[in-house]
Amino acid sequence: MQGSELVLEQVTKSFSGAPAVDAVSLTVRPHEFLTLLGPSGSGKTTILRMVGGFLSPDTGRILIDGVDVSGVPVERRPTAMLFQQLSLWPHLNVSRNVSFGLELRHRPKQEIARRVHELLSVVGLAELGSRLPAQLSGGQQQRVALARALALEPRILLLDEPFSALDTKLRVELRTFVRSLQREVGTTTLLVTHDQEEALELSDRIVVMRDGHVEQVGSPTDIYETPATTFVAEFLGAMNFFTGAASGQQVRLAGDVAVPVDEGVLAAGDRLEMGVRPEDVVLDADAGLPARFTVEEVTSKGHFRALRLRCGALDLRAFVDKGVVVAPGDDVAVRFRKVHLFGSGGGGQVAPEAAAERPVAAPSAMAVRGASGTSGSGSRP
Amino acid sequence: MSETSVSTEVAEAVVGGAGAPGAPAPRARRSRRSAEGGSRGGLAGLLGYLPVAFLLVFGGIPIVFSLLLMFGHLGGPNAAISELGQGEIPAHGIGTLGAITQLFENASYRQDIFATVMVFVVTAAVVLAIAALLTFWHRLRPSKPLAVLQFLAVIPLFIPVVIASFSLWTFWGDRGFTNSLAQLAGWSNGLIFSGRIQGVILAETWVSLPFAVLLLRAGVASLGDSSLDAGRDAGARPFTIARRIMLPQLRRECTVVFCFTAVGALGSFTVPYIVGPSSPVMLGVDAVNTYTAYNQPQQAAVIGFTIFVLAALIGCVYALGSRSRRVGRG
Repeated sequence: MQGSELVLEQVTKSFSGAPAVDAVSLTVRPHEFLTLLGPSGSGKTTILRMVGGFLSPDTGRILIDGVDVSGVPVERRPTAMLFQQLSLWPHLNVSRNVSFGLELRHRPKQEIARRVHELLSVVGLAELGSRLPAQLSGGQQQRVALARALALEPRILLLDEPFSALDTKLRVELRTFVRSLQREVGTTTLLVTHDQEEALELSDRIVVMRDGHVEQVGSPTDIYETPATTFVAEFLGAMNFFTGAASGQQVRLAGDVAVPVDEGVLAAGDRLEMGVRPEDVVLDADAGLPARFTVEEVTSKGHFRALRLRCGALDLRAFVDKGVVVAPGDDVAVRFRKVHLFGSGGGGQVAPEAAAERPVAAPSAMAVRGASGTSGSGSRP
Repeated sequence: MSETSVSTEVAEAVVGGAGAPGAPAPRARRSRRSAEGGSRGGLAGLLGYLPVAFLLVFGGIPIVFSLLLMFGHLGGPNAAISELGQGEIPAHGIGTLGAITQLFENASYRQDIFATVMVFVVTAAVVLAIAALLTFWHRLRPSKPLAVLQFLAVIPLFIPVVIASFSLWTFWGDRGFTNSLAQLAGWSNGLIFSGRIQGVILAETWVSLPFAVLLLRAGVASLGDSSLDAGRDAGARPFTIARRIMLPQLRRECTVVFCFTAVGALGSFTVPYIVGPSSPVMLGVDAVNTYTAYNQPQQAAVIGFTIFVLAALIGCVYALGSRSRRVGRG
């Protein structure tokens, strides 16, 4: 099966004057699995529906393999969509659902039968061709819908939150299946989701969207490890945020807690936000470290433990190995494996590669006296 | 309900015990409870049987009497009406088909039956077609004009049929608006529908359309967007989507619209009486004329029975069209 290049050039779409997609430019490479990730209202589904032809862009162009398809009606686009809701036609059996598009194209009956059998075999439902959709589970229905979408050999496959109507187990099973199938058939695929886990697991690249524009584009690792903004950082994974100010080679947080950073990264007096992923918080029994946090809450998450720590008015969330023995009330010292520094207001990251482990320094009395002016601190899971 | 009762009894038996002082014996309590349950069940049964009894008394018995009258049993409960009626054919033995034969041998009556069938079949088909066109098309290609048309189609629901019929009679009459326009265009008496069977069909369509539009609109709204989008995505044009995706999914609604419109038209009186011709007439008008004008209750009963048979046929169509599908189209 073929994979095509999809290009969006300055695509804009408004509804009743409110911009849903604001001058978005994007390239999806042939055979790539690209995910549009963002909260509700970020414009990701609007983009998908414009690519599919269900909506027309107000301005801008959509090109598939260099051909402008912006004005091409949906029934003539080389795309196929898998919908969020289970969208099989209930009056047609599984085989007829899959063969519908082929029948419209007047393909020979033998070819249609062979193709339907082939596709149902690919999705593991070859034996269920005569069943009605109502006789299938949700996961099976989405597999049939996938076979139906693939029947027309689309150059671009569009997935509109196709797993959201399924329960957790089915969702995990089906997305693994979809990923392996996509690798096998090689169709360029555009997925829309608000599920970060889904995006991280499936995508070659992720586009994080917010309020109709692209916030960051990159591989799952890049985006997770080097979020461009506080929005991306908190949308993809959990992160603790603290407001601070540069002071020499340190970031001084509220309550005089200080975290050293690389030389030359900061100018003195810079206001910034510091982010620390909970898994980058390392508990250290070494009593020689100056800042000490009190364990307030310990929650088992199965394969790890989530801790809520407090140092004066600083809240810190940490994910530690399930073997780490701590209990509420314990005093611990912490180090940060990695910190992310953002310009004040959540803008661009100013020190994306803060690599070395950073002991958290503070006046020894801080933990007991608390800190004033700590409104900027907090954890956003 | 029964499980709850049982567990309650067990709990009480354990707490109270058989010999607990002051407590009534379990068997006595059980019998009192079963007596209360019995009276509640009796009340529920009475509530269930009341409508049935009502139908039997006020619908079933008159039907039986009419059937007896139709087959020539003029005595007993039919004695009073037979005393006044004319042209009666009495039964000799178990009954006679004389009245039925007499009517069906009459060419005028056969024309009335044909006109009635034509009116309700054509009306039901036209109403279904218009309602489907308005609602399906609006769903596939939403537009202001279609929304306005849908709104206008519902208005007749709030206009009394007798007033509507008279308005249509004058509108389509020889001095009505349509014919005046036709005459202005040099087409003499080209657009007169009043006093014609076509006029009855037009008026029945006008009267029946609101219900059909409302019902189909609700049905169309129940179809998921993704179901229709998937059709477009597979390459289907609007007409194909309507025919192969929407229509099969709305088969029941369409059957209901067709059958209810047909039964409504079949049993209507006001519209054909005011708008329709003097001959042929629809069976409802015919029955009333035969009973009141010609004073022939036995023949009127035969016409009523004919209407009933036609309604039963429509009922069969309804039953076939609304049954659930158990196997998929393959």
